[in-house]
Amino acid sequence: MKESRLWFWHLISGLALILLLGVHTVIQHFDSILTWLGFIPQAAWQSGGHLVGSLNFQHAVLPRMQSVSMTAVYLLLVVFGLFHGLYGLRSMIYELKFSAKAKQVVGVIILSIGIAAAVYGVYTVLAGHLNPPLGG
Amino acid sequence: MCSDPNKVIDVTKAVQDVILRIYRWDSSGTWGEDGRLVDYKVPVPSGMTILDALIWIKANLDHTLSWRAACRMGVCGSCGMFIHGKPLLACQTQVLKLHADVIEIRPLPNYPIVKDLVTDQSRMIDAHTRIKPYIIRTETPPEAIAGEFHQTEEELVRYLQFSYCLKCGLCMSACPTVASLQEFPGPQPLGQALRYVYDTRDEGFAERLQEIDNKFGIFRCHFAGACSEACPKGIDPAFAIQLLKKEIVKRAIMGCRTPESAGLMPAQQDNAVKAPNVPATPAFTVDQKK
Repeated sequence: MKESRLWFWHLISGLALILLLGVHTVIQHFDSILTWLGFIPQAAWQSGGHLVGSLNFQHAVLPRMQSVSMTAVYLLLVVFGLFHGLYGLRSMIYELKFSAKAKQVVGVIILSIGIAAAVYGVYTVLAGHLNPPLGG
Repeated sequence: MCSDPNKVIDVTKAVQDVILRIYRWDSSGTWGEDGRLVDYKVPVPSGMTILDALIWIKANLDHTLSWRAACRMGVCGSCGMFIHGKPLLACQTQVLKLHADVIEIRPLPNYPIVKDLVTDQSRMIDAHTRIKPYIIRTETPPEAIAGEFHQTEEELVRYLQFSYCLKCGLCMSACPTVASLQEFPGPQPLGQALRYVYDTRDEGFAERLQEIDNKFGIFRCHFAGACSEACPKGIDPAFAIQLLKKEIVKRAIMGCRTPESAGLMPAQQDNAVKAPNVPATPAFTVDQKK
């Protein structure tokens, strides 16, 4: 692929990461703020079963993994996060002082790491759909 | 260069003595393997430039000192050097305006040294040559172009700023990517690529794209902006590079149509009336053979 296309997708993935990480951060880590804003009922906290950001596997993690919208968010997060990070890493490594041939090898290694990590990441995201819920 | 610099540089009106600490190196090893800084005490009158001071040193203190210079007025771009921690043109830098008793002068960074303050600028010239710094047209042979191209004032102004490049190479010496990535073309050639891409007479976008759209090309610029700070003509190569990135994304990725190139001006009509008070064209100084 031409460098301009890779760079263009680096920009797009950067913008997408702001959005996707924003969604992830708000849902996973700012659940108390969501409660305060009224998106999560106070009662859900008291029963220990609110379904948004909690780490309760049965009542929160698994439903999140099985939600189509959250699956889409995490699939995009895996792909864009890996691409953005690894393209940035490749750019930095290219500026180190070693031969152009060695840089070519580094490029192939980074691409291989990216593909392997993407496969593993996608499998992890889809695990909630592929495997039956634990503990019935 | 002036045969007797003392006639030009009058140090009898010196207002201050300044030490010029100059880097010396030659390939024969006179100044050691890594070179050496040598102090020269210079009586500095008001208005003396670093280039004047170097000429005075060569005439009065050390005739072996080497540097490159030509026009003495910021036009040729030959006298770039690393003065007091910045890449500057020696002819445009006044000694007293640096407000220092000791001024260190080194050759420009990011270039191999030939001798003392003289650097080998082949890297910039080679990269500049590769981006084809001339108008490319599809007409063949080029001699088939008979006439002048039509270009509006707005079209001219769009690239005019970038056409003021002196090829002094100060931007290349300031660029952190040039310092770390040997294959990177650098701000000077990339800025000039934009100058021709923006020129409505040019049709060479695709040809230049091959030279700049690669893994060590334009997209390795991370917009430090040091080139624009160093440029003595205010060309703003960093801005030019960002504009060129935008142009590449527009034309090569988004599929925006390359603007139609300028056509030839219509031939002058026989009955055209000349504007009044326009002086006649001077006669040719060389016989025009038909």
